[in-house]
Formats: sequence, C-alpha cells, structure tokens
Amino acid sequence: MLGWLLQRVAQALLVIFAMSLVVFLGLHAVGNPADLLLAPDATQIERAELVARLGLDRPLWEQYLNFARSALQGDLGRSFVYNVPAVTLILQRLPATLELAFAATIFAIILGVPLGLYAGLYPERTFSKLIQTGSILGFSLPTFWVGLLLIMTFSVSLGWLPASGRGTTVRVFGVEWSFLTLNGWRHLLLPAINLSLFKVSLVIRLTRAGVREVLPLDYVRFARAKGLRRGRIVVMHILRNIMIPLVTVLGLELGSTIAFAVVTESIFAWPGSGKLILDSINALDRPVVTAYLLVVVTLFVIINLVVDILYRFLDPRVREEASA
Amino acid sequence: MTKLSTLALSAALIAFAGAAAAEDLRIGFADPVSAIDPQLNNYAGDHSVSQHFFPAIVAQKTIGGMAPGLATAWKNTSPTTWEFKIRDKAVWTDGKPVTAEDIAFSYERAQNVPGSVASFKSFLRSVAKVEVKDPQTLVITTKEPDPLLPINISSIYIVSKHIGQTATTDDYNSGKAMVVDGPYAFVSYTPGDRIEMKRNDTYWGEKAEWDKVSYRYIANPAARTAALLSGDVDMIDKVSFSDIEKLEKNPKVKVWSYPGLRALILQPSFNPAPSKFITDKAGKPLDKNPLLDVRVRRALNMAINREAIADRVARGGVTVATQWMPADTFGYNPDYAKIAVDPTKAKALLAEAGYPDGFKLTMHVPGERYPLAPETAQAVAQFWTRIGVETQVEVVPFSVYVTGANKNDYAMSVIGWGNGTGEGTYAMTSILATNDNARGLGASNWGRYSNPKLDEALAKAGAEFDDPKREAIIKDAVKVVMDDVGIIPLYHYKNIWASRPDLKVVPWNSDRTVAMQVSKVK
Repeated sequence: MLGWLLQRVAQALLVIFAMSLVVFLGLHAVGNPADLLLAPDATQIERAELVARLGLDRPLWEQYLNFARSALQGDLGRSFVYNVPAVTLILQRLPATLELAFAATIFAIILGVPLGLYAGLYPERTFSKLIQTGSILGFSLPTFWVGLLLIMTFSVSLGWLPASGRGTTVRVFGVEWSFLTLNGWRHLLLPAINLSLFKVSLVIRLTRAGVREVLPLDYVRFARAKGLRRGRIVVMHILRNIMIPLVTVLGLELGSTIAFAVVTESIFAWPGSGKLILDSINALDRPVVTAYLLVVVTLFVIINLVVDILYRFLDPRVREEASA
Repeated sequence: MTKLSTLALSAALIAFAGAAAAEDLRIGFADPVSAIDPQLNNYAGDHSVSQHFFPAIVAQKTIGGMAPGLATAWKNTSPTTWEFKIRDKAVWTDGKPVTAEDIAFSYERAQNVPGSVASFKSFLRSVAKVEVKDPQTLVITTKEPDPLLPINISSIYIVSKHIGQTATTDDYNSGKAMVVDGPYAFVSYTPGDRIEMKRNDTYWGEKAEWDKVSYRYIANPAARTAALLSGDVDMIDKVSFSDIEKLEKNPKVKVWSYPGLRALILQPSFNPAPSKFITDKAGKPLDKNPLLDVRVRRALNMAINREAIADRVARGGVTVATQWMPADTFGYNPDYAKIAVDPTKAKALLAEAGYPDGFKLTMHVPGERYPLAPETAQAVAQFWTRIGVETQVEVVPFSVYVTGANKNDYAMSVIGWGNGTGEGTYAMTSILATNDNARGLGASNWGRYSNPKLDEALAKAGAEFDDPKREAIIKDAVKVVMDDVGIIPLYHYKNIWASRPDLKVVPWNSDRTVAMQVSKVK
C-alpha cells in the first residue's frame, strides 16, 4: 500500500514539473504581460520599469529557474493584477467552486442512478424511452444556453430563484461556505443544476448500459432462481457490480468540473476559481495561472487516489490484487 | 403545487421584495476590480470603487467640467505653481480632520505602492514638488507650465496619512485601513464578487441617497441583463448592445443612454517596410506600404459608411465619430463634423495612387477587449472590399493582439481610446504624437503615425493656460490629422445603464459606475 502511494506521489511530481514548464512556455508565447497590465496611457519609460520589476526582461530560462526556486520554497509568487499571493487568491475562490461541483455531482448521482436503473430494468416502458431521449438532450445542449434558459424561466419569468451571485455565507474552519444557509442554497440551485445536466445524462447512460449488461448474466439469474427479493438483487447484485465504471467516470468528472466550471460560473456570476482563471489568462497573470494549474493537478491526483481506494471497497478482486 | 407551498413561496417572495424595497441599492457592474486600495492600479473598475470612498482634490464631472473636491478653490500663483485651498469641514471616518498633509502624503504614496502594475504616477508626471503651506493650503510646483494639472490630479484618490503611512494593499482590502471621507463608508469586500458599503454620515458633501449599497461584479453581459430582469440587482452598467432594443420595450426596465467619450479608432500602419499583411490581389507582397500614400488613406476613410455601422451593427449604441473627440467637447472641431461616403471617389483616388485594381489587406482586431470591435471590423472590411481593397479580418485574443500592435506588426490595428480627461490633448499625447520613448510620447500610437505639425501643436497646447486659445490649437490639430487621415475614427460608444423604472441614472464622471449617480424618482 505504501509503495503504491509513493509511486503515485512521484508520478504526480513529474506531472507537476512538466505542467509548470508547459504553462510557462505557453504563457510566454502568448505575449508580454506588461502590455496588458499597464494603464493605456502609460509611457514607454513606465513600461520598461514594469518589465524590469517583474523580471520579464530576463531570458526565459532564468525566469523559469527563479520561479522554480521560489516554488520549491513554497512561494508561487504574487498575482500581477491583484498584488496578493497567488495561492491565497486561489484558496479564497476555490470553496465556491468546490461547493458548486459537489452539488452538481450529488445531483448527478441522486437523479442519474435511479433513472438509469429504471431505464435499464424496464427498457420497453414509455418512461424509459423518455429518459433515454432526455439524456440525449442533456448531452447535446450547450451549457451556456441551458443556463440562460434556466435564468429566464426560474429567475426572470417565475421569480423563484436569484439569477446570479453567491448567497449568504457562513464561516466554518476559516472558510466561507454558502451551502449552510437557505439563501445560499437558493443561489446554488440553478448553477448546480446547470452544471449537473451533462453529468446526469452521463450517469443515466452508464447505469442503464451496465444494468443491461449485467441483467442476463448467470449470477443474477441464479439469485432470482434462489427466490431473493427483487430489491435485494438490484441493490446487492446489479448496482454493486456496475459501480466501478460509474465511480471512475464521476471521479474524473468531479475533477474537471472543479477545474473548468468556467462557463457556468460566468453565466451565473459565481465567484469561483473558474472565473478567476479566465480573467487571469486574459490578463496573462502568470503566477495565478501557474499556481492554479498546480492546485488542479494536485486535486486530480487526490481524486484519483480516492477513486482507487473506492475500488478496493467495491471490488474484492482489486483488494486481493493489492495485498498480494 | 399545494396551497401551503404556494403560500410559503409567496411569503418568501414578499419577504424578498420587502428587503429590496428598503433604501438599499444593488449595482451589477462589468469592470473587474483589482483591489480596494485606491492607489494600487489605474484600472476602470478600481476607479469606480474609489469614487465612493476617497474623493480627489478636485472632481471631474461629465457635465460642468471641473468641480470642487477636497479643495474648494485653486489658482495659479505663477505658471508653474498652483495653490489649493482645502475645505475645513472634511473629516475622516475616525474623526480626524482631512488636511493638506493627507493630500501631500497621497501624492507621494501613489507613486510608490508596492506591487502596482498600472501606477497612478502618470498623473503626476509634470509635478516637481508638493508642499504643505498650512493645514488648509497645498502648493504644487510643476516642472513646466501645465494647464492640465487639475484634470490629472482629479484621478488620484486621497487617503489619510495617519492610517496610510503603515497600511498595505492587504489592509485596504481587509477593511483595516478603510478610514474614508467619501459619500459612502466601507463595509466589506469579497474579491471577485462584491463590495458592500453604507452611507457615511460624516461626509462633507451632499448626503448620500442610499443606506446601503451592494456593488456586485457581473462580468458577463447576458448575466448582467438577467440579474436586472430577475430583480437581483437594481441597476447595471455597460448594457449589451444586443439587449438594448429588448430592454427599451420592457416596462419593468428603464434604459439610460448618454453620449460617451470612448472612441473606436483604426490606426493604419505607417511602417515604411512592406508588410506581410498587405499584398497584391494575387497574394504577392507589395514593394512598398500603400498606406503611406495619403490618397489611399483618404479612399479608405471615405469608403466607410459610419451611419450604417452605428445603426445596423451597434443598433444605436454608438454615435458616429469623425475625429477623436465627440461633439460638444473641448477641442472638437465642428468643421470636420461629417465624412462624406463616396465609394466612386475612393476608387478614383486609389487609381490615382497607382492601385487601380486595389490590393489585399488583413486587419487585426482583439476579440473581447472592445465591445463590438470584431463586428465593426467585419463591416469596415465589406466597405473596403467594395472599393477594391479586399480586406480580411483577423480576430485575436487581446493578450496576443496588444503585443503585436505594440510592435507595429499589423497593417491595420484598432484601438478603443477612453479620452478620460475629456479634452483633446490626452489622445494627442498617447495615440497621435510621434513615438518617442525618451519623452513618453505616442506610447499607444500603434500605427506609428508621425506628423511634426501635430507634435508642435501638442507642445503648444501643453503650455497654453488660456482656454479659448488652447482649444483653438487643438481644433487646428484635428484639421492636421484628419486632412492627413492619420487615424480613421469610427464611432464613440454611448454610456448605457439600465435600472428599475423607479430609479433615475445620470452620468457622473464619463463611464464610471457609482451609487452617487442613482436616485429615486420621487
């Protein structure tokens, strides 16, 4: 177990190193941050001063080495735009995104799994066909359009839910969370639904396909022949066996939702990290972009780790393989 | 739905509406804010926020020019010395008086805020020294005579010396250093989300209208409109051009549109070397840059139907521009109020210049920085193609664009120029003067236009204290540049706000969005 963990960490470090190099080179190729940061009436002298102060006049390898040196000491630099340590900035924004991504994933599970099960168990019923068709919509409709539609319906026409922003927050462990207040949930609901739409469809399809595959297998028929209750067969024998692909996909999806909820965040003016990274890329705020991607890689590594551990719980074969 | 839940829901809605009906104002604004520290960065969003908390020494108003701020009166005691009388009733929210010391300190701090990337020091370029004669008198000495000093320092916000001396940007952001003297006092700041403020009862000026103001960042234009329509906010700024028509028809919304100063201008390249973005019809590079010929520039200028662009592309959200400043501003030249659209003459001019078949041109435009710029560029390309100059539009991200434009890589670039000082020399300094690194002139003159007559006019205007004379010089400069077609102005953006129907929105200072511009209709 420990060896496996160490191997994982080593892999992650390699990924982080490669990523920092790619981001550094990529941002450098786009353009000079000084041109974007300066006020439009700045003179050439002021520009030269800024370039020198940010170290942008040094050769690229030197800039990278400087960055790497302080990064190894735990300092990822200060945001050019906000003049705040990049990591602080990201950690300030991350909770908003985390809560959105988790809410969306939970929606996906509580809606997607039952619907998928139903569609898989009774494929011939009209409702199952409706679910199937509905899930195609969930895949194919663009998020920004659905988001606007949700706002037009539930905020503008019906006036039930707010259209934008984050609700009242409560401070827990030094972090502001909005999912602990009613007002927070009112704000959270629409963006979370918007973000979950694709995931719900994905879960429905995966569950349905899994059920269809498992249903005719011998062990299910045997369980049925043994006279087990239908509910028990579905939960213990069918659902459990189709969980592995579901967990894998949901884990990956959770990661990418946290990292790239940009569209939903900008439509609902959600002050999360997606919007931060978009603004920062546009402003070529190098420290923030690099630090952000670093945080994202770390997050992915953690999520994958959790997924792997979940496998062990779900599938005895993996457990044995690992202990062997 | 059951009766009970309907009841509960309507109760919730009434409670919600009730909360909104108190004397609170919620604003949805578009420009990002980098910090609450009023001296960190010279950015549009930061300016708007600072206006609530930290009045400047003088105020620049959209209507009425310069108005008293912390200073009640000012005069020149010699061409290079200015004396400002500071009002005696101004106090900070901690009870200490606002004095000339605070102002002198602020001008010092504005030039050395650690981590500043868009420094305010450009507004103090001409200042040699700042002296405190007594607590109520400030004397500023300039290096050269500078009639624009009051306009320039109207953009620098005054912070308190006793707090500011030890305060960092973080202290302003956290509220620790937010001892203010403006119409509103600071409550809280959530980066990337909102700023909460309340009325400052110790403010020296007219009492603020609103008890509480929630100033919320909503960058996406569609989201801003939705937030207004759903009642999340009471007022929004920078209304999307595509929403104007719809909102004007909506009885629950009022649209407030005023002529603005910001211009969208094309800058032809005066690079003597042949450009890879200008070729003959077959795609072969030309041996010289045709844009160097004034006849070609005139042809391009008169081929554009600006009225059609304002009407069809911008749907009335802009006014036609024929020079860099809009009508009725200081330095606008009424002799150049119209550019006649004449494709036939344009073709003749091209032929005369040696391009009877025209040529191929690629123009570059940033995708997101200037509203409507890509659509406008497409329209311009059509007009030019019609006279034989086959034009391609290349839309690039601003981060890529600005690097290329700064290097004069493009054959035709576009710039959105704010004309923030409200008079003509600002644009002359930055986008028209001959590029001169040492003297800091023509820093955004991306086409590298150069005309000694313009440079001379700029120098003369900079030293002329007599307003009518200075205005005459600027008007002459308009003639010089527009006869020469050194730039191709297209339009001026209107400043557009939208609000609840029971509110009134008036312009405050150009396109700044502040709570002070909103009042209740009685």
